[in-house]
Amino acid sequence: MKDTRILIIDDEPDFSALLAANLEEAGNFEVREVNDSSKSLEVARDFKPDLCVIDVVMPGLDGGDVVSRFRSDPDLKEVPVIMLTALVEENPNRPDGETITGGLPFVSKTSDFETVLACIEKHLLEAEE
Amino acid sequence: MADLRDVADDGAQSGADGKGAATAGDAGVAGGAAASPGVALAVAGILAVLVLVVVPAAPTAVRILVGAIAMICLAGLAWRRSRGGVAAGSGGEARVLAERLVERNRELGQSLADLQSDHAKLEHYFDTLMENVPAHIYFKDERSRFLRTNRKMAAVFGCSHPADMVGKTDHDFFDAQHADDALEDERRVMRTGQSISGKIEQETFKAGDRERGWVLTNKMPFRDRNGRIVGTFGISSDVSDLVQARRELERERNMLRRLIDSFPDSIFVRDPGRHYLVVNRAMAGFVGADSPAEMIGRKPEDFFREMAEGGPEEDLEVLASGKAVVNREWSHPNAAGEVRQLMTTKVPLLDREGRCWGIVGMDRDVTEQRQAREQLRESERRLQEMMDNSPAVIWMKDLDGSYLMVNDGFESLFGLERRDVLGRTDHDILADKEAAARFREHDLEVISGGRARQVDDRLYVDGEPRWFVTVRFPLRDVSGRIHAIAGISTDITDRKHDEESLRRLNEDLVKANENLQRAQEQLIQAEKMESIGRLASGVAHEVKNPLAMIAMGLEILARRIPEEDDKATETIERMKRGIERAKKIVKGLVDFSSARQLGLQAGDVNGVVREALALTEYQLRKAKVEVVEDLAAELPPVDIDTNKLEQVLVNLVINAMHAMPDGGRLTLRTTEDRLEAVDRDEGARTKGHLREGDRVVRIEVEDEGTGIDPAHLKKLFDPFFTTKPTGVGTGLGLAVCRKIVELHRGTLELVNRAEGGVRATVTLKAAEP
Repeated sequence: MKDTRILIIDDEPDFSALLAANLEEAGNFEVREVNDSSKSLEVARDFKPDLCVIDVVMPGLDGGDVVSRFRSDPDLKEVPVIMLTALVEENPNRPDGETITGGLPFVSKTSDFETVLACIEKHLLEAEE
Repeated sequence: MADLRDVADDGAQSGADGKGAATAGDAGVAGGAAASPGVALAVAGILAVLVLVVVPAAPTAVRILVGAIAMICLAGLAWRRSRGGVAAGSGGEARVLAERLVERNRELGQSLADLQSDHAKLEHYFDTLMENVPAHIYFKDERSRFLRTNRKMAAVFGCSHPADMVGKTDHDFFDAQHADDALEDERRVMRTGQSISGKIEQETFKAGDRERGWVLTNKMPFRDRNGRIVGTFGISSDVSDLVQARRELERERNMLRRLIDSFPDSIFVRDPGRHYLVVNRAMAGFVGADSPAEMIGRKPEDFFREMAEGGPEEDLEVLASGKAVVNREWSHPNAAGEVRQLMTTKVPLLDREGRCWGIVGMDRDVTEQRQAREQLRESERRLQEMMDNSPAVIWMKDLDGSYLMVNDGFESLFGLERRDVLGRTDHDILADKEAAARFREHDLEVISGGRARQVDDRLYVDGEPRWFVTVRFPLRDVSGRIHAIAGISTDITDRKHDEESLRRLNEDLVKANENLQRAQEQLIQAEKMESIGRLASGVAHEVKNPLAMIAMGLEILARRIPEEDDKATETIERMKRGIERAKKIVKGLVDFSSARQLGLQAGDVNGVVREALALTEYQLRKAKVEVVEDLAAELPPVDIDTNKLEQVLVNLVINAMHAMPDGGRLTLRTTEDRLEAVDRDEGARTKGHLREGDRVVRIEVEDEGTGIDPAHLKKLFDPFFTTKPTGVGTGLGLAVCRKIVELHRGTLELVNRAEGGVRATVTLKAAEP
C-alpha cells in the first residue's frame, strides 16, 4: 500500500520534525515539512499530499492564507486540511478534540499526539469516501 | 435812699420845731410879767409862739419872722412896765395912781390868769407833741444824762415811766460800743454846736433779749435861754423796716444783676430810641465791649457791624404793635469773628398805663445746637442712605412697636410707602395679623432680654411664602436704657432654594462621583484584565508551541524506553503530568483572554443550569455533594452565550464543590426579580450595567462550606488568585467567570451567607420583550 502523504506546514522546524517523526513511527505516512509558508504551494504541488496539517500563526503567509491559496488551486483544492494551532484549546466535548470554525477543523497543538493522529485518520477516511 | 433822706429831713425839722417851741415858752413866761396895757403885745407874742408850735411845718423864714414878732412884743411889754413905775412916783395924783394901781392889779391878775391858762395850753401842746410823735424824743444834760424823754422812748428802753430814765445814760441801756459812739457824737454836738442829722445807726441794747434795731437819729445842741449849750436833745425813729427793705432791695438788685450777668445768653433792654439801658456780660462779651457799662446809652448799630436785616424795623414793629418777636434766627460774627447762629426774642416793656417804653430782649447762641442738629440730620441721612442701599429689609421701632425708620427694602417688600409706615405698628400695616403678633412677640423678647436675637421666619409676600432671617437688636440711649429696637431681615428664600438645589446637586455629584469612581475602578480593572488577557494569550501561544514540541518528543522517547525500565517509564509519566499541568494553566489563560466577545442570543437560563449540572454530575457525585435544584418554573428569556455561561456555572459549581471537601449540599436557584436598589458591598464591583427597575434573572449557587476569608473578598476576581492547593486551581476561574458575566452586562457577586458557606449570584438582565 502506498504511503499516505502528509504535508506539515509550520514555521517551527522543531515541532514539524517531531510531529513528522511521530507520524512516521505511527504508521504508513510519508511526511514532508514546510517551514517557510511562502513555499507551501510549490511544495504541495510537487508533493501532492493526501492531507495538510497547517499551523495558523506564521510569519508572512499565515495558515488562513495558505488554505485560501490551496482552495483556489485546482490540484490542491480537494486536499483535506487540519488546522493545528496553539490558538485553540482541545474541545473536551469531542474525542478528536477538534473545533470546526469556518468549515475548517481546528485542533489544539497541545493535544496528545493520539488525538492529533485520530483527527488526521478521521479526515483521511472522510476524504476517501 | 430818697425816702430815707426824707425821713431824716423830717426829723431835722422836728428838731428845729422843738427848739422854736422852747424859745416860745420862754417868751411866754416873759410876756406874763407885762402891765395890762401891754396885754396886746403879750397876746401877740403868745400868738406868734402858738403859730410856731401849731404850724411846725412852716418854713424856716416864716419861723424866724414869727420869732421876731414875739421878741418885739416882749420888748414892748418890758418898756411899758418901766414907764408905769415912773408915773406912780408923781405927787398929785396919788389917788388916781392908787385907782390905777388897783385897776392895774386887777388887770395884772387877769393877765396872769390868762398867762397861766396859756402856759397850761402850751404844756399840753408840748406833752401832746412828746407823746404822740412816732419817735423817741429826749433831752440830755451836758454829761449826756437823760433830763427828759417821751413815754414811748422810756417804754422801749424798758422803763415804766419817763421819770425813771432821768439821770441815766446810754451806757445804762446800750452795749458799750454803741453807748460810746453815741456819747462821742453828743460831745461833738456840744463842742461844735452842729447838729447831727439823719444818721442811721444800729442800736444794740444790753439785754440780749432785745433785737438790734436800726434808728434814724438827729442830735442837736440844747441851749439855755442865753444860748449857752447845756446839753443835747434828740429825736430818733425806728427805721429797721426801711433798712431791711432797702437791704432786700439791694440784694434783689444784685441778684438780678448777677442773674443776668451769669446768663450765657445775651440780655438787653433798649429804650424806644434803641439805646441800651441794660446789657449783660454775655452780650458785652459777644460784641467785644470791655464791660456792659460801655454799651449803655449806645445803639446796636455801634456794635453789630453786620446788623441783621430787619433790626431797627423789627424794634419799631415790636414797639408799635406791642407784640413780642420770639426765636427769630439770624447769624452774626462774634468779637472773635466767628459767625454764630443766634436766636433772638424781643418783648416790649410796658408801663402801668400799657405804654411801651422799651424792649427787653435775649440773643441765644444756638450755633452748637444747629451744628449738632445738622450733624444729626446728616448722620440720619447717611444712615437712611446706607439702609436704603442695603438689599436687606431694615427697620427701627420704638418700644411700643411704632416704626421710626424703614428702608427702601422694607417699602418694596411690603409695598408700602414710608409715610404710611412711620408711626404705625405691624398690626396697623400688616394684613397677616398672626405674623404681626409674632413679630411683636419677637420684639418684646429682645426688649426684655436686652440682647440681639436671630429668628428665621416665614412671611407670605404676594401669596408666596418667603423665608427671612431677621436679626433684632435693642438700641440704647447714652444711659444704657433701651429706647428702641431695630431689625435687619434678609430674604433667604432663594438661598434656601439654592441650598436645597445645591444639596441635591451635591448628592447627585456624590452619586456621580461614586459611579465615576466605580466606573474608573472597572475601567482600570478592565484595562488590567485586557492587558493581562492580551499578555496571557500571547504567552499561551508562545508557551503552547514548545509545550507541544515537548509532548511530541516525549511520545517518541516513550516508545523507545524498554518496558522493564521502570525508572525511565516513571520519569516519562511525571514529565507528561508536568505538561498536562502547564497545558491546564495555558488553557485557563486562553479562556480568560479569549472571553472578549460573545455570541449572544435569547436563551433559557434554566436550560444552561441543567446542562452545567449534567457536565459536573459525575464529579459531584464522587465528591458526595447533594445537589438541590430550585429553579423558577418560568423565566423570561435572557440574551446569553450558552457555552460561556455554561462555563461560568461549571466553574461556580466546581468551586462550591471544592469548598465542601467532605461533601454537603449545593443549591442551584434561579429567580426572576425587579432590581429595587443597587446595593454596594465589597463583593460586588460590577453593577454598572444594571439599573434600578431592571427586570433581572438571578442564578444563585450556594454551598455549605467554610466561606471566604473577608480579607480575600476583594481579591476573588484577580487573575491567578486562588486559595486552592497548588495544582488544584489555576486562579483564573473566577476572573474568567466575572469577565464572561460582564460581557453579558450582568453582575457576579460572592458573599458569605449568614448561615455559613458562600452564595455566588449571577444577575443577568432579562431580554427586552
